[in-house]
Amino acid sequence: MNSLLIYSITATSLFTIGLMGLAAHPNLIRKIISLNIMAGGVFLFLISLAYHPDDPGVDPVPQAMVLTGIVVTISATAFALCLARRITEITGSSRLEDKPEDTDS
Amino acid sequence: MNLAFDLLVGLSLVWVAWRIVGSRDHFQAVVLFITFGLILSLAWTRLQSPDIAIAEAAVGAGLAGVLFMDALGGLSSSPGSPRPAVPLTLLFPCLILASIMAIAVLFVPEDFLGLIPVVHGALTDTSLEYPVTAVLLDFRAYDTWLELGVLLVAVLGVMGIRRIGSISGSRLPAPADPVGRWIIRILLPIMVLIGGYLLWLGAFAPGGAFQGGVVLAAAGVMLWQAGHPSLGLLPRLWWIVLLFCGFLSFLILAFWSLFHSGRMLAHPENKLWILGVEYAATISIATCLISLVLASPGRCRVRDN
Amino acid sequence: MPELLVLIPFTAALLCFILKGVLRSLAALLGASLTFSASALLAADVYQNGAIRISLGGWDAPLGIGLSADGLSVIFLLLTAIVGLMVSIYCVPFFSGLHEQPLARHFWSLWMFLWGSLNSLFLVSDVFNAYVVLELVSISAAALAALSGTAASLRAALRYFLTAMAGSMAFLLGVGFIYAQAGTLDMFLVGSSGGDGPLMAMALGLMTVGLIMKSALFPFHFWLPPAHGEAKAPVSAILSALVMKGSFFLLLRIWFNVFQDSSLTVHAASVLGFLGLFAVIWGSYQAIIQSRLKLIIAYSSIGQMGYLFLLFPLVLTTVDAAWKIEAWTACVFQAVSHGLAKASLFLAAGNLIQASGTDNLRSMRNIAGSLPMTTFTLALAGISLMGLPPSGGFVAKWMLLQSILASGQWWLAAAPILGGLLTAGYIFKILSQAFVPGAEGACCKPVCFVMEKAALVLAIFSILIGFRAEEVIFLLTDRICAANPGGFWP
Repeated sequence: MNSLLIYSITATSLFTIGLMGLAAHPNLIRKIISLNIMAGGVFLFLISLAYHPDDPGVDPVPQAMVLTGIVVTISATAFALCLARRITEITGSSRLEDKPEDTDS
Repeated sequence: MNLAFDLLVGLSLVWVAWRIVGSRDHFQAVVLFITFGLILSLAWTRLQSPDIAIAEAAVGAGLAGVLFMDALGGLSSSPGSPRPAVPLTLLFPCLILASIMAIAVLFVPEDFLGLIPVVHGALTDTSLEYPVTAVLLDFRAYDTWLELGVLLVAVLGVMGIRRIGSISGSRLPAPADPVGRWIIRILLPIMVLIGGYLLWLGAFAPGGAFQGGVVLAAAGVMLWQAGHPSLGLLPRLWWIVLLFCGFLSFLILAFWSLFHSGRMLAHPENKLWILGVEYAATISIATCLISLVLASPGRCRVRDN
Repeated sequence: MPELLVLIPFTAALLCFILKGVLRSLAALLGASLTFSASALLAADVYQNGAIRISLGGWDAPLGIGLSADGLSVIFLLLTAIVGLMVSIYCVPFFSGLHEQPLARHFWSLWMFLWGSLNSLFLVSDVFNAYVVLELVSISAAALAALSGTAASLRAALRYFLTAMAGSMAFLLGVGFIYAQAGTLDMFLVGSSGGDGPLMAMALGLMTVGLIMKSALFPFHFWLPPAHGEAKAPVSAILSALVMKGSFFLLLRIWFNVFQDSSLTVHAASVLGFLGLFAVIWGSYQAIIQSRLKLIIAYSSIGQMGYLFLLFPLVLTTVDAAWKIEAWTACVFQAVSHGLAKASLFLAAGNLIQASGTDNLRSMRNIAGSLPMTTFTLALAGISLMGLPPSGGFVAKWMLLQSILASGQWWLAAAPILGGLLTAGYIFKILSQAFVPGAEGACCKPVCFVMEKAALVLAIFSILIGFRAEEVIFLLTDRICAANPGGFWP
């Protein structure tokens, strides 16, 4: 049992919990939050790989990857939230349910 | 001791994530998500990644929190669903997935070193001393460039959804009360100072374009939260310049290096180039993030009230 | 040289955002034609001199990021270039219409960004770089899909985006597992370091699931019909012809370059093949029962993408090397001819919507009389989709059937046979409406001839590619970057 193991198992659990939330929640904001939890799990996994308690120090490549990933994720989150808000403004509903929207005229 | 701390952080992360997914109240979920971001930055600090801790605290807990809170206000507050949030049919496949991944993780070799030797070996050939900044701005500059592209495309996408060409005239929250304004007046210069300091630090210590940019963005968003349009006051041209300068500087570097030395994105000997790219990236990251927050609620309709 | 394929569209994207009116269209067209020429030159270079690999920033593989252009990437780059150029030409009159005018700025800059990111996806040689590029593709594609602004299109765009994001996250977790095993991110280094084991198996599973979510293979197809059906016509063309192919290309890359030594691929291949078979039948059947033209074309994408996944069981479990190559070529050929035909169909559907205001099949009556060129386009593209000779689709499906029979996996033969019949069903459903005399005067507003021509050119390309099969096969067999030529390639 070491830190690598604890954090990487935490990370994969977070990923799964996020995935579950994404699939389960009808509400859009909750879906997007769940995606962020998934992202947090992935980042934690990458950093747990980078961490070496003693000699060579911390691997900078996963750190750079996570920094990139954080910025990518916040951009995606903001974009998705804007879409969700626009959907609510138009339809009054903050869900993504399957309504057969045939615009046959 | 460390192991106990690790266990505590790990367990609380999983517990908070579980609560976020399981909670019926959306507001509670958002608050818990901010907590999640803070615990996560604790974990980054523990894992000796101060760069990520700064970025996570500013972005994961700060900006994402603002975005979610703001969106929650914008969405009709639908009542919590009466049924349990996570159906059991989903729980079992997820449990299986989690256990498979946990077993796979056991196989990560103990003496795994990754690219540490390679990066440290190449550090002498680059003008940057701090390995993370060197990876971001030199070794893997292409990733950083494309990531600035992602930010830019997200801004363009938000503006496309809102059908706007610039962020001036974006909807503002109500002006802050005097106490809030007083706090902001003190905090703002400090944050700008911290952002600039982080940027300057990046060449040889934890810090750099990302961290400086996100702290500056947090300052800008705070200003907006207090009812001040901040970037919205800029003329469109200036705003576009700030928005594009990071991506553009990489583009110019790419063209220049391609035609000068035949190797795209190779930094010239002169250290000014890499500094210029870094500063431009910082400004662009901050501007893009602020614009994302400002543009997403749409344009205020002056004639409505 | 390959760098220009990324640089030109990105420059054009910035220009398109800043410039206005005619200047913007000029910048876009200039960017499109320059990118097209650069792709063609690169393709000629690779065809004559072999695969190209460059290191960006002067840092070599384990440290820096590379770009690699081999036969496979060149074929997809050419597809992108042809479809991209035609769509760009089509869009100049399309976005000068009164309703679309305010969208022009956003469309052009997003589209140029998407083009640049697709090009860099086809040149990718680093797994983490692939993640960043995938995100760039997803965001710009979702933003383009949301441009219509209707509730249905916004919902569809968000559904697509959430699926794509979840796919990217799975992909990135897979990148982590690869890094844990191989200690490097370069695709070709990972491939040649001979990794096999639980970590690689996990990575393969995560990345494959992530990518098939993005390419809308059967259980993950739910986002596709609304996203492609509700978007603006040129956007639908881009999404179905290019964006889906991007994730499929990456799937090929990681399966045959990164995981070439993984033992799991053989078992997973049958699963993918089965899902592909199911997608062909289910998607084509759904296409038949739709009543809107764009939805028919969108469901048809699910079916046509299904064919591509037959590649995995055929290449990985066939013993005879010659038939492996046949299957490999057949599926890539199918990807290209489907891309061309589908882009042409969506553009033609756009013409129809412009003429009659709707894409309901009932409103299509008598378009053969009023829009003869568009009807001809629909027919040509339909021929390629159905796989009638001498089209590209015919070559693809013929080679596919041959390799299926040779490999002895008889159950897969249901895909080209049944799928072909069902495809014929929905194509004739579309075409039969076109020749039914309708109410006089119901149609039509005039359609700019440039838009009709652009769709027609793509349809003609989808037929003509059938005559250029030899060059494609040469690119796909002799110009491939494969570290172990003894494994999959003779």
